[in-house]
Amino acid sequence: MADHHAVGLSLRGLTVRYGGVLAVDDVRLDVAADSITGLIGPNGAGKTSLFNACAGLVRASSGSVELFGQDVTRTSVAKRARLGLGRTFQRVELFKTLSVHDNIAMGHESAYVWKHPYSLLQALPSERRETERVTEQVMELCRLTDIAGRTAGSLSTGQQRMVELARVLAGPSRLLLLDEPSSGLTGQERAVFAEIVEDAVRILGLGVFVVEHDMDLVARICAQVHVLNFGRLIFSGTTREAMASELVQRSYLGESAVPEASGGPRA
Amino acid sequence: MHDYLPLIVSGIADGSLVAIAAMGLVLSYKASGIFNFAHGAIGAVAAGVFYQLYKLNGLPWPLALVITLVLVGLVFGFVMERVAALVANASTTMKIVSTLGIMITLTSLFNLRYGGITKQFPDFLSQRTFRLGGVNIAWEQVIAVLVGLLLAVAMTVFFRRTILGRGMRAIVDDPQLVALMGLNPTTVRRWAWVIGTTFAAVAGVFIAPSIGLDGTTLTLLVVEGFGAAAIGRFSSLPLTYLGAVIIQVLVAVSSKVASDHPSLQSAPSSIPFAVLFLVLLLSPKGWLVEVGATLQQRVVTIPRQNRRVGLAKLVPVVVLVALVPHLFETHLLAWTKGMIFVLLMMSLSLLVRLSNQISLCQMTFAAVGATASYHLVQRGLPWTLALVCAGLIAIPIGAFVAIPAVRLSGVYLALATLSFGLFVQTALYDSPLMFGNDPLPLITMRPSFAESDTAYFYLIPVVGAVGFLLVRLVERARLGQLLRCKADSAIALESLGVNTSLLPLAAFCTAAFLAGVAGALIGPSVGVVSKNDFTTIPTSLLLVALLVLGARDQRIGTLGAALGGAIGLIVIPDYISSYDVLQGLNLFFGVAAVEAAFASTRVSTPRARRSSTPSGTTPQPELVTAGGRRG
Ligand SMILES: Nc1ncnc2c1ncn2[C@@H]1O[C@H](COP(=O)(O)OP(=O)(O)O)[C@@H](O)[C@H]1O
Ligand SMILES: [Mg+2]
Repeated sequence: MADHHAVGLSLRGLTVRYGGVLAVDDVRLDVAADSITGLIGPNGAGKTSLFNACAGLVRASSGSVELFGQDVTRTSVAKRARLGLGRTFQRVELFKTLSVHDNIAMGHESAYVWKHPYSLLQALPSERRETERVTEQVMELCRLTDIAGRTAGSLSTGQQRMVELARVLAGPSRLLLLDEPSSGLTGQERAVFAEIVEDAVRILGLGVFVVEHDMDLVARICAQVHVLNFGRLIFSGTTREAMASELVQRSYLGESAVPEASGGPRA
Repeated sequence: MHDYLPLIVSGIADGSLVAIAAMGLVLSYKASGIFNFAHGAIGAVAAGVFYQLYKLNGLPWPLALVITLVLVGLVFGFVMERVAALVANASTTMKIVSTLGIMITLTSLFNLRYGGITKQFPDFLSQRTFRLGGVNIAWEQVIAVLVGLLLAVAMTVFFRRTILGRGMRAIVDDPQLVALMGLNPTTVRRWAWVIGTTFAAVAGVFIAPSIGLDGTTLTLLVVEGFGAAAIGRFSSLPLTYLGAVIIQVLVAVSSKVASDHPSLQSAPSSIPFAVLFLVLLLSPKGWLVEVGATLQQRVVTIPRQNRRVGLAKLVPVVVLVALVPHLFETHLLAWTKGMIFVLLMMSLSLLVRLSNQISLCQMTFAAVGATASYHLVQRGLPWTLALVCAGLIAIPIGAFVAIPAVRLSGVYLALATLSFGLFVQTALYDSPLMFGNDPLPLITMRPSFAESDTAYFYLIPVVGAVGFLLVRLVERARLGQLLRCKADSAIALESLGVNTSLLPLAAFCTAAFLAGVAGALIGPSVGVVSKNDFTTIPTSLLLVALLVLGARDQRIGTLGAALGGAIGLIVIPDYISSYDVLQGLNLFFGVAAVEAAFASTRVSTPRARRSSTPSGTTPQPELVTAGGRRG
């Protein structure tokens, strides 16, 4: 691990079981708090399960999750989010009936909910101003200003993924989990997406942990990668080392040429 | 102890019959993913058919029984399979509404045929008894238990051993697997429905002799089976059977206790509903899993209206309302009561629109409001204050009902609200805090500032407007936005750091408040108020059906549906006070609700507005299985 970096997320012996299926098997890894880290591995390797365990959507069967030095293994999804963990989903989860603007605004406004007794009823003027400012800024960054008024459910996959990213960027998250953010995107959209993520990391000082199948993209943006196979962590290191590693080649990169079985990411 | 033995015996016998109905329900639910609220009504129809063949046409009972079972089983098996297929892609709410609509339809048809007075149902089984261990046991009871046990064992073996049975177990989760087994999925589902409805028919015919040919009571008895099904987690047949027997033994034993204490008179009949509600209330998270894939789409998509269009539409409504006292002077009281129904509809619509949840106990909140304001005015509270208090008192009740809403959704929440409504109706309506034991209605007072009929009539739209503003306020507040977000994607909202579990509570409280106020207005409109104004079945259910009609077509809209419903339910029966007309109107609403449920699958997929999006992005409804397999 690159020890000169601050650690955002650290997993110790993390194990996730669904009945008999061992989806994540005794994984120990660290994710830097100020750069982009990749998580790669074939379909069904347990990447999404690992993310869900980090976010609290599934309970870890054993092991622990630490977020910015605080143990959150038993903490609720919402609490972890308030501690600075943001995420996007492999299958996009947008507020489909809301406009792009309102989706992104909710990313920011969510932080005010339950803050004061009055918070469910109305936004304070200061809150409203701040929400509006951040939303405009994020829409600018993500190049969504032109479609701000469109209903999120009516957008293309690429646009939806971008809105999902913008929504989490508008919030107070300091570490983002992005689950296959480029699946279903065109080559052009991928390039834009990568650029925006890099910008966001640089400008906002975020850490990003990203599941990505496109190895060119990984090579371009990730400083570090972790490789999962059958739920086990088989490699951690720099992207260059991973590309050179024979073990990684065999278990993953070699296989990626083979047509993906069903159950993989939907385009 | 010896006093109780005969009761336990009769409880076991009754329980076996209820168990048959409940097992049929579980079976069809497991195989289709559609929870059949009409299950009890089908049992009642079977009792009607049997009555026709045996009593009126004079067929020998075994023949009449076989014809009834085959006829009802096949007809409704096929019909329900079609219905289930047509709403397979609909939202959970629409699925619920489709079978609720069938329930309303069948009950009205039954009532049209057999009238409102309970007819004696012939005892077709042997009435002879024998003595065992000092207890008289009727052969009828032995037969009930034997039939119940036989069907339970047969079904268990059928599921384990036969290919069709195994297909039924697998079909919801994996239709492809069923196809691999060499079975046609449609055939498998159809047989599940045929067996399920036949079970309902068996229960209906066998239960009828003890309670007579009364559609509503028969339907309710089968609804008691829902509690048993809940004990079996809506999945296990043996547990369902056991649950039914336990519940009915409790009912029988408690009726003995109650007969010594007049204040407990209504307790026994409320036990099954209490059990259902408690199971739903206390079930741990994940204990009850909704069967079948649900579409991740907005439930009742009520179009969000542009404000100006809304106002433009309001003008003719306001003019019409203003003219009512002049046009319909002789029936003004009914029109007033009808207008209050519009308010009730508004309260329900708020719940559905905001949080995607339906309440099948809206009339219960109204009853709480009605009785609360009556008692408060009696104790000398100013009328207006009592009205507001009525709403406030309904709020904690709404919050209580919303506790299951924190964890349950869809069918189970609907069941929780239904059982709560039925529980309050059977157990508490007669208490002195509500309508009291006296069969006479309560005599209500009007406020001093609106003593005349016309003045009171005009008071309703004023209260309505205040309520409308309240609804608008909540909808436009942050709470409204959060609830919309939650309806779209709860998991996304949680991942943004919002604790979403308490949000439905707020929606339920607001809806209960409005319904409570509306309930308090009902009494003074005609001068008296009685528990018959606040029935769960059918009135609460009719409200839901009407709401769906409004959502079906933008041109009707919620307000239009509310007005139509008020006129249909309250005003027309006041002009033509005929039982048949009333049932005919109910029939119409039932059929229309089913049709609206079907229509929802047609309109919700290709929305006109989406035509401008690029072709590659046709919004494909994404299937998510109940367990939420992928993140
Ligand atoms: N909710 C679940 N229930 C049971 N098994 C699951 C569930 N989610 C994932 N799995 C299984 O766990 C394994 C890992 O899945 P997943 O984490 O989605 O992998 P990836 O994201 O790497 O494709 C797979 O074998 C998958 O079938
Ligand atoms: Mg995945």
